[in-house]
Amino acid sequence: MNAERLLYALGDIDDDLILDAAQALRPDKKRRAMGIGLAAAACLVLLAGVLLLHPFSGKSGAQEHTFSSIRQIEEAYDGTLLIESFLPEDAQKMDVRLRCDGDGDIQNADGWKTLSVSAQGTDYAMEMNCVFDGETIQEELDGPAELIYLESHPILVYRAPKTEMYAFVYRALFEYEGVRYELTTKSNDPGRMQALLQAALKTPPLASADDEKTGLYRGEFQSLMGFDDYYVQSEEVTPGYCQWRYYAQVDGEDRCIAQAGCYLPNRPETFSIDLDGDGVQELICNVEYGTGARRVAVYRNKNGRIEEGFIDEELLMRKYGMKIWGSSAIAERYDIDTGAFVVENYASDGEKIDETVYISDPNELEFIDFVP
Amino acid sequence: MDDAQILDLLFARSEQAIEKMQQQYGRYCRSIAFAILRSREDGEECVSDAYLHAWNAIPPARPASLCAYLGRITRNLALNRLKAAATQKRGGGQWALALEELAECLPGTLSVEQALDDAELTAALNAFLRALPETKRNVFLRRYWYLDPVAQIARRYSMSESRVKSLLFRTRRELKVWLLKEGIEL
Repeated sequence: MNAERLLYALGDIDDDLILDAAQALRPDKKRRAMGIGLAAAACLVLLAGVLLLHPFSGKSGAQEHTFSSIRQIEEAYDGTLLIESFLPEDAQKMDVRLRCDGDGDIQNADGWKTLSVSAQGTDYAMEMNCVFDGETIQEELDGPAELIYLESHPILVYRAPKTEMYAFVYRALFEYEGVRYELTTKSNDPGRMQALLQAALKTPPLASADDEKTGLYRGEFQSLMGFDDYYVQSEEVTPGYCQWRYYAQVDGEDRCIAQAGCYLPNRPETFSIDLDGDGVQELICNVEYGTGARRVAVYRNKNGRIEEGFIDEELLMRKYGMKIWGSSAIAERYDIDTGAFVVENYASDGEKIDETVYISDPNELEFIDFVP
Repeated sequence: MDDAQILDLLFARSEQAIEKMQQQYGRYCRSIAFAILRSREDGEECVSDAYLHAWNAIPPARPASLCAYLGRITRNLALNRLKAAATQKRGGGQWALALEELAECLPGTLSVEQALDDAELTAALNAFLRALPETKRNVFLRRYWYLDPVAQIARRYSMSESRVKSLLFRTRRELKVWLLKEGIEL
């Protein structure tokens, strides 16, 4: 079993290589926060800043931080937290408590233990506890529980006794990306909990101008990469972040020929231009990734073969001397005015470094077969 | 608490060391185990076993990086479980997939076992990985050390899945050439 031995042998490589790969992800929090901020503007605009910071009186060695919004939490967390999906849009007051280990630095999400969020809106109130460190949520079920599945996520839902204000109090226990959630909703709408869980976990297609039911619409170009009959489908793949996929008939079947992601409520910036002069226009997409990184993706049709082009990092380092330390080190976009791909280089502190690079020769792009 | 202090606790046979390892590296180890096994329950067991292994091995071992040490043990234990599951046809999809992909790196008719011993193979891999540009190296390690799915790597490094697949394909090809240069014949 040679491959097996190679797989195990990789386990013994030097520590620093392993740790580098573990720490390599440091998303562009500023840009990601901007995207999340747009989607969450309605509930965050009234609530900003840290209220107070005090030592936690519970377990020894842990500290509790209190906030009036989830902005700092979202920015510091290296993944997707589902809190935003459950917040009432018109929440007037929000209570956010984060319990951390050790020095209590909230920027170190590895030290997070629990996060509690409560918010009160016009239609409903919610409370949520997130457990990060593998502790079990101690829960005494005081009502009939039901196990449901949404997108293969098992969720334990049960109804708790009603309160003075609300007829329907539901509690849901589930896990998402290694975090355990305990969500409580209080509402006079019996379907509120289900609807919130659906919205958070199910990723339904977005409504579009052309067809609100299917999320499909005709694109903005007369033809796309030589295909006259094409359509676009959008899907909110994570809360606030949308993937747009372009489909056309290739070899007799509907096939995704291009894709571009961006934060809501934006649409991806796309251009249809014949870059290589072969008479068939390419699709150029200014793409925003979930990490906040901005890149250019170029799609072309080479005699029915769909290819994806990008600016190779090695070219940027070798030819243009750029320093690429991570995904946020460069920001790319296609500039229609200059007809060039513009690449800016940033240091890890977010400061722009070196000269902006303009690439106008499409031969400097690297193309590979596009596999959606 | 830093590594040296936890190691001191282990050398003093203080059970507090286990608690400190959990606090300091629990999430990291769980993320490795979960990524490989895709099961929280199995992952938790695997991480507990990793602490036990560390407890038994230290002393005399005194690893330079406790994080990497625990991560490595967790990975090996998780791979063993995944292998067992694959053997018993109880899942193990990532196992089969990773092996299938890595098989492309293996040059020729001579087996790796025949050509290199463990230490030499690891040295060759270290040298190969150090020669790679950072992003390429980390993408490769996320796939074959951490066994992350391609979609997750694409999100992590702000790339399309096609690009990750292409990068991995090219790196595997380069590794094959590298191993050849290290003396493994086609």
